[in-house]
Formats: sequence, structure tokens, C-alpha cells
Amino acid sequence: MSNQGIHIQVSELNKSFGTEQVLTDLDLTAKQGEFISIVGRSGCGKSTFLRLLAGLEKPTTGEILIGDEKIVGIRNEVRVMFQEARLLPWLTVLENVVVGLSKTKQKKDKKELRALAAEMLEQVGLKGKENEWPSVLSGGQKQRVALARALISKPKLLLLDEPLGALDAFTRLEMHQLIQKLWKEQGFTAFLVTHDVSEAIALADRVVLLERGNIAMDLTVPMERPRGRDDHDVTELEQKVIDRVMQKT
Amino acid sequence: MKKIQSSILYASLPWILPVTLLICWQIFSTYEIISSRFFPPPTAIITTGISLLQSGELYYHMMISTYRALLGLLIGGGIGFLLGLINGLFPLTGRLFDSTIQMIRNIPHLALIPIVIIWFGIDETAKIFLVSLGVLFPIYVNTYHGIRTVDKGYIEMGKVYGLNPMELFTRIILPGALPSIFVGLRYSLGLMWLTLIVAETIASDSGIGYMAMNAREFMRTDVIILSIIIYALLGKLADVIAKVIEAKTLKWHPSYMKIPKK
Ligand SMILES: Nc1ncnc2c1ncn2[C@@H]1O[C@H](COP(=O)(O)OP(=O)(O)O)[C@@H](O)[C@H]1O
Ligand SMILES: [Mg+2]
Repeated sequence: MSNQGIHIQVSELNKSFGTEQVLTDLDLTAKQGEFISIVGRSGCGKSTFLRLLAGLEKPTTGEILIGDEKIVGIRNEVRVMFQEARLLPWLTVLENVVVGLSKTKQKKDKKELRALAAEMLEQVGLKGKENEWPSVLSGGQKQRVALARALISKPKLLLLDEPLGALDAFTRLEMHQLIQKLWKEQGFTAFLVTHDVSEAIALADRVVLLERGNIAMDLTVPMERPRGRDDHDVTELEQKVIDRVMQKT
Repeated sequence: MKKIQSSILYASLPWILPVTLLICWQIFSTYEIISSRFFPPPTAIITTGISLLQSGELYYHMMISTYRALLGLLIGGGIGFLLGLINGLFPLTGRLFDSTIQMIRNIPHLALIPIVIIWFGIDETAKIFLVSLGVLFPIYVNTYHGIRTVDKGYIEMGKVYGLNPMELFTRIILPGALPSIFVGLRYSLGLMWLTLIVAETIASDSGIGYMAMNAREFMRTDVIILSIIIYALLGKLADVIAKVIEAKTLKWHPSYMKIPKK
């Protein structure tokens, strides 16, 4: 495993929009190469948190360190996968993956970039689709392209905001395997926002529950990977998280 | 065999009526059932067309008209496109200029003909000015709209993936706005010919419209009808060219996509 992940330290993070306080004094640390799932009810601030990590929003107060540096804007070693694949419809599949190399292209010529993109596409199982238009791909294939685009630059931090939310159950399982494989190979640090607790547990080292802008629960997932869906420990953990979410307060 | 025959019949179905009409026209006009002064037979129009072609007169007027149309399109379309770009890209200039432009847009440009004649006389400037004005607004409106409605998600993605502002424009905003810009262009082409027809008919000493107007004085209905047909053909030609360019540029767009293999 290449050791390219990066340490993330969130301290006393506050974010409000106008009068609405979305995140309150949030503290969280991610180790190098750690995979953290974030779950929570809709509107609890998960996307906002990821956008802060991505540098797309600025904290109201508090700070986020990536390595030793404070995040103040968009950074090239951070990549985001969105709920919708956001592939550019006017570029072919291959050209879309090349977009992921934007910052590095000064050093390489077009041919090299395309070769790298083709290689990355092969890794996500889309060999042969290089010259298709995105609109002919299935939802799962689109997200594979988006994953290839996100990972081709070997980011240190990958942020996933419900990227599998719109996919059917079987495609999701396939995507879990793929994400896990690439994570093991590249070793990036990852934050996955998901509304599917079993998905959160299947993939993550830690599951973090956000509630009213703060961390309500932070559970380590100790089981060996790959984790069986009917594994007793897995279902028990899943139930624990769901119970906590549903708990009336 | 039967199937082939019926499919040929089916394909020719839309042509039956116009062809019958033409044949009737030819017969009625030749035998003076209708006045051949008012409705010269199609064959006479073709003959006139050939002789005007041979004398070079037709070519001369067509070239002048095409020149006016294209120059007007270039000037008006160029200005409309640039204004649309700037106002679409920069909210502040959009806020400053857009409502004024929308106001001017409401003036029917052909209503300006009398004053345009006073300003420019009946020389080239007047016609090119009118054509430019006619094509400016559809291209402006559709460029502006196209740029404003590019999916913000793509732009955000582009930023996260490190595209600089220039790349954001060339790789995301402009291609995203193109379908709308083409709508404006095709609409403009129609207006371009329409404006030119009116302008050439009212105030000109050359061009297809002048040819028709001049023929009126001599009751040359054959020349008038020929002029009308030429306008129609030029209009169709412009539309076909635009369509081909559009289909080539937007080949990624599902509505232009060839049915995928397999
Ligand atoms: N740009 C914004 N402006 C104003 N309010 C926002 C903005 N982004 C998010 N919010 C608000 O912040 C809250 C959390 O949103 P979000 O982070 O998207 O939640 P989640 O992803 O957990 O469903 C919501 O109440 C939402 O209305
Ligand atoms: Mg969200």
C-alpha cells in the first residue's frame, strides 16, 4: 500500500449560513489513509462539512488542517465525488477522466495524459468505453468514470458525498468493492457521506454520526474486510447506529 | 415486391400534392384558363431564370444580397454574442445592461426603416444596419440565457478539479451554452433574410429584392416569382448549413447522437 493519505484535523469548526448554525464546535481527526463514513439525518450538515473539507466553503470560525496546512480554498490533492457524476456531456469518457489531471498537464503531453486516463479507466473496469459519450452510460458506469477522474491524480484526500445514492443495490455492491480496492491500492484518506448505514459500515474504519451540527457518535469498525453483510458483528453495529439515529430526544 | 412498391408510394406521398399543383398551374396558365400575365407558367419562370443567369444579372443580385446578409449576420451576431457572453459571465454588467437591452429588443426593428433611410440613405449601410439589428437580439438573448443556465454543478466540479477561469470558460461554460446559442443562430437566420427582403424591396438599387421590385414596374411576374423562389432557396440553404454545423458541434448531445452501435 502506497502511503499517500494525509492527516486531517478539524478543530472547533463552526459554520453558519446567516442565522442558521449548521455545524457547532466540531472536532474530528482522521489518521493518514483512514476511511471515515459520515451518517446522519438529512439536513444535519453532512454536505456542508464535506464542502468545508473541499475548500468550497469557508469556516465561520475554527479551522481544518490537512497535513500541517490550514485549508483556505480548493486544493489539488483533494478530490470530490458528487452524488451526480457531473461528467461533462460534451467530452468523451476518456476526456472526462483527463479533466482529473488538469493541474499536472503542464508537465505532460496530451498523448501521455490520454494513456494515463485509459489505464485508470481499465482499473475501474471500463476498458473499451473510452470513446463513448457519457449520456450512453448507465448510472453505475457514470460513477465509475467519476471515480476514475477523482483518483487519476492520486489525491491524498477523497471526499464522497452520497455518490452511490442513486444506484441500484447490486451496482452499489460492485461499487463498494471497487472503491475498497482502489482505496487499498492508493491509500488516500477518505470521507464518505452516506444515508445507508450498512454501506457506511462495509467501507469504513470509523462511522461518525452527525446530529444537530455535532458528532453524536463515533464508532470504530473493527471487523476484517471484506465484511459480510450478514456477519453478526456487522448487523449488530448497524442496529446500534440506526437505534441512535432514531432515538427521540 | 408489394412491400417495396407500397414503401415507394409512402415516400412519395408528401410530393403528390405540390407536383399536381405545379402541373395544373402549368396547364391552366399555358391555355390561358388563368391569366399568364399574373401567373406565368413554371416553365416560363425557369426560362427566365436561365436567361437571367446567362446575362449575369441574377448572379450579381444574388451575390449582393448574400453579401449583405452575411455581413449583417457577422456584425449583429458578433455584437449579440459578445454582449451575451459578457453579461452572462459577469453578473454586474448583466445587471447594468441586460434590462436596457431587453427594452430595446421590444422595438420592432423594421419599424426603424424610415428613420434608417434618413440616417443612411438607401446605400449599403442602411441594409446592413437593419440586418445587424435584426439578428443581434435573438443571438444576444440565447447566448445570455445559455451561459446563465449552465449547470452550476459542472462549474463547481471544474473548480474542484483545478481548472483555471479560462479553462472553465472554454471547457465548461461555452460548450454548455452552445445548444442555446445555436437556437439563437437558427432563429436569427430567418430574421436575417426577412429583414433583407423588406429592406431591399423598400430601399435599394441592387439585390434580389430590388430585382423583384424593379420587375413590378414592367409587370414581369415571372421575375418576381423567381425572386421569391430564390429567397426561399437561400433561406433554406442557410438553415441547412446551420443544421449541419450544429449537428457536428453538438454530436455529444443526445438529440444529435446517432443510434449507438450494437
Ligand atoms: N449555501 C447555503 N446557504 C444557506 N443554507 C445552506 C447552504 N448550504 C446548506 N445550507 C443549510 O445547511 C443545512 C445543512 O445542509 P447540508 O449540509 O446540505 O445537509 P445534509 O447534506 O446533511 O443533508 C440545511 O439546513 C441547509 O438548508
Ligand atoms: Mg447532502
